[in-house]
Amino acid sequence: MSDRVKVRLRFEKYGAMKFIGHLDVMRYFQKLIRRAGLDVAYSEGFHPHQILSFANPLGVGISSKGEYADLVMESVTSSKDMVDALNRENVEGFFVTDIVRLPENAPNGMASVDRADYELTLSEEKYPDVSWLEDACKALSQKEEVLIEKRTKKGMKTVDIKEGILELRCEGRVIFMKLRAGSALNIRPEQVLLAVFAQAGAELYPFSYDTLRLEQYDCDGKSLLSAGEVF
Amino acid sequence: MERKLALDDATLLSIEQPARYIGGEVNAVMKDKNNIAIRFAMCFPDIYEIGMSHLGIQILYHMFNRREDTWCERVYSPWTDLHSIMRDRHIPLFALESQDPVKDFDFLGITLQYEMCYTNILQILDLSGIPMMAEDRKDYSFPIVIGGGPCTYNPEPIASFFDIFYIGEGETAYDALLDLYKECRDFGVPRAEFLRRAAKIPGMYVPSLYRVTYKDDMTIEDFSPIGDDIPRVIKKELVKDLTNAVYPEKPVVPFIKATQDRVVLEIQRGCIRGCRFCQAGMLYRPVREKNVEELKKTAVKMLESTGHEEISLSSLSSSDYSQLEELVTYLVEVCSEKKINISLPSLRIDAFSLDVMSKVQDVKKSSLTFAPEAGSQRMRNVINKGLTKDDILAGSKLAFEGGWNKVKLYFMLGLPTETEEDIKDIAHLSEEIAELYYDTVPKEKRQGKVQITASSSFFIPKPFTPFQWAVMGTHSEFAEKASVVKAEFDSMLNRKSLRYIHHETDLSELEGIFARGDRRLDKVLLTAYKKGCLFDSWSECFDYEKWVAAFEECGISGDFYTTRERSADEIFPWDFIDIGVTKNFLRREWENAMAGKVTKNCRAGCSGCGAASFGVGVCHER
Repeated sequence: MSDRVKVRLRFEKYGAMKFIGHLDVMRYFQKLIRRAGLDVAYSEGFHPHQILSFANPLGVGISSKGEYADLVMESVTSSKDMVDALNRENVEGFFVTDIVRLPENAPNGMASVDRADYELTLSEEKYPDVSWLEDACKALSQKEEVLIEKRTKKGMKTVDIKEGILELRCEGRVIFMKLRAGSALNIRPEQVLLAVFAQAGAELYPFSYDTLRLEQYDCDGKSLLSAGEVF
Repeated sequence: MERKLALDDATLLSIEQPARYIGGEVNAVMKDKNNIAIRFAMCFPDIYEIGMSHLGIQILYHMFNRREDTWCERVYSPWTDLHSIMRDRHIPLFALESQDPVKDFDFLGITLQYEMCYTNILQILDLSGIPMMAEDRKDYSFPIVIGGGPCTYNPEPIASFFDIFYIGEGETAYDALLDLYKECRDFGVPRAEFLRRAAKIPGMYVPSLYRVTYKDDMTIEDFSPIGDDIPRVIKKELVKDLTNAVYPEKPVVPFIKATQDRVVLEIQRGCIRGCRFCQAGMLYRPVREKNVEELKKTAVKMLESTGHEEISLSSLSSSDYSQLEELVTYLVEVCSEKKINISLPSLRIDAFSLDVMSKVQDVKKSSLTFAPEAGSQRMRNVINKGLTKDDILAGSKLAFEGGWNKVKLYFMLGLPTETEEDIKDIAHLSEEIAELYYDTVPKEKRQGKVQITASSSFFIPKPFTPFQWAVMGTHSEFAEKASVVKAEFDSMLNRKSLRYIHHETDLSELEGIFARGDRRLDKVLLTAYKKGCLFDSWSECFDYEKWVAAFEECGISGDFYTTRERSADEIFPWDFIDIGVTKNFLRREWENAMAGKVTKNCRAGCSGCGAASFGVGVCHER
């Protein structure tokens, strides 16, 4: 038991795989880890399962360059070996970039994640003219409060998400956002995009932009990968 | 290079389970279509999660893709949400791997697993832009539409929609068919002539080359080939050496949870039991076992190539597999080491199976399953179900002593010669098992009440069974029977430990019509589909009223196919097929049923059914 090793892996999700929901991504990884032949640790009981957890679910339709999963191993070889073994078994659309060993007492990814970077690209076809976008982003970043309508159990409610927007800027039709993420406060990029459009009085069409999650960080602003070391 | 999807993001994000339509799964086969001579679209006409769970498709997919000149891809029925979108926007149905339109393929193979998928076949053709009637497909601009699977043992209700039916097990004759196709197409032989030549390959039934005439009473007068060179009888294809037959060592692994989310290991084909209602038991005779050493190797390879966390055994009656103990002991060992679950099929309940079950399942959560099929011993003799009350009680007692307290029982209602006493005995048998629990397990050891769930389906007579002559009940008779059983359950002393559920009556009636239907039903299917019937096996989609209207509009009475007495010499629509088991044997078995006489299973003594003509399997053991 005591020589078990905690590792964290970072992976990308892209192309058609953005349509695979979070629960199915978890199932995919369980099977991937088996195919790759990694010496993963299992829970006890009649239906033992891998000790595997994901930092932060990614919505269906969103691609990512910075997804995280933590895994407890019975034994490990080297980071490179394990990354290669997983990528040999990966399908197009999933790619493991790194594996690091976590200190024994490290909190898991789910507890650590505090913020995430996103890149949203507006469709050229739906928005031929985006000259207003930069001003709208600037104006919104300078506001004291950013009010959005949120659906709750009791109906629609207005909430201020200003605290959750750490950075917001744009270049052409590409918008960059650094948003709070995780259990304490989680802001979704489309909520901010809606606010940007509302600021400019523009209409946001459904399915008119691509969302890419770039990276996820802890509360000190350090990448979740930096909690561990390459081995 | 990234694959381009047939559906845009907006569409995929606005429907349920977009992963059904994107392909790209583990072990999905990609090929360069520029180097491919034959494109084969293999379709299971139901949703992805059901279709992906089907072993037969995985076998054929693997078999076709072993050919260098062929690329086999998969197609499933778009669910109703996507169905509407595709119709409205004229998006053609596509195959998952290449995402190319099905219409551009050389073959569209459709597996026919149950009658209630027939409207889904029309949906597949319709959305693909392929004319539904085979006679309207005149050249190679449309795929050759070929059907296979259990419903091809009476393909007549859907004969007008197919160019070819492959009768029998798919592993044997496809190479000959594909080679012939390639030759005909490349040398400019017309489609009609290709079909004529195909009809001479063993197992191939080309319905357009057969003519049916009817008597005044609507039964068949004559069923004959058009032309002397077309075979009058088509013998089913059969795998002679199952151990060395093609098997998918790298099955496709779905992203979303399929009904069968596990490795499926086929251990044998066929069944020795000879239950008189069971179609599979006759169709797949003779029983052929796979070599246990090969099975062990295959199991490990499949687990490694898929990463599945569960394996299950597939056969009609696993307890009759002669090497079961050795195989299961091996799997339990390997799987506990690799932390893989074993899901056991319904095994005969005895000391061995209970011992295995206690190792692989949580006794407190799992249940025992018995399929007595009928409540009384008299009735079980009629249907030739070997299971006796003593077997059930002895098995239950052992299980109760081992800590189990849940029992599931399966029954049928509407069996030939059935009386009210017979069906009330369903409740009495359930009650006896409950009493046995309270007698066997002392109070202090009980984990709450015993839970006995009895469920009944309605008997549907199927072709190639001794009951193919039987009269089927109407849906109101079924409903009446179910309420009699329910009332009897409610009067039992231990009723609080018992639960009774039954199937839908309307759906069973329709299934009965198509099971023994003939060519004249094609227009009912077309009419029902046009009225919007689709996914009929899904209760949320099934619309009985629309079906009633379709029958009325076509001037066809469903009763002709269900409640009519059939005479011993009637020509059935499926009589042109030879499954090895003879019509004489089936008739003898029908008479034995009427006399309540039991027939031995194949290992206890040969009854001369005719399947020995294949020269393999249990008929030639020892």
